[in-house]
Amino acid sequence: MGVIAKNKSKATGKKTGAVIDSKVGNYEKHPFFVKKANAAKEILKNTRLPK
Amino acid sequence: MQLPKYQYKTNHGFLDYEFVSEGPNGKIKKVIRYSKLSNRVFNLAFGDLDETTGEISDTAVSNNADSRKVLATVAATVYDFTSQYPGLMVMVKGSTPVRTRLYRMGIANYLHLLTGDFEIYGLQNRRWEAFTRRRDYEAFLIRRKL
Repeated sequence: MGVIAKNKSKATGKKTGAVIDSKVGNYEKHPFFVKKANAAKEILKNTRLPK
Repeated sequence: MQLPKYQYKTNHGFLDYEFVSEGPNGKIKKVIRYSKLSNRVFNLAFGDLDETTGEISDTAVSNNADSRKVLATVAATVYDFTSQYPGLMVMVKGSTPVRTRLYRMGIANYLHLLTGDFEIYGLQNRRWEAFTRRRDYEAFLIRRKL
């Protein structure tokens, strides 16, 4: 069963508005998100983060 | 902050989210990812998933007459992500200047509610400054108040 729990994170016990479903994809290496992350890194490179 | 939004799903990592936009153009699956940029900052990006090809696009105009509901859903995931990962910052930038402006307007419209929970910064001329209405920003940085 893919749907584990609604409204509570099993890991942290924190309340969430999401339905937690192990079938939700891992998009870490999806080219779309990799490209977005790289573009964002370029922007950050030239800025100083707020403390 | 209770705005109309879609039911959304995530997995145990709370970095990936999915929901389905429904409107005149049918059902469109939206996917959201928080990508690590550094130990302090994650990038929030989202787009339409073509389940046939696996491709994701954030430049297609869905025309599903639900942009506010979509943005409210994305905003809800910011609450979830920052709740699971306190102390981290979220960076957001539109795929086009028009979309960045749309996000700016969305933040401005609900600033009085958001600032209770978040510090919000806008990027202008390579400097992050506290978000101010009616200023043009290139990107946004959000941090949950502890």
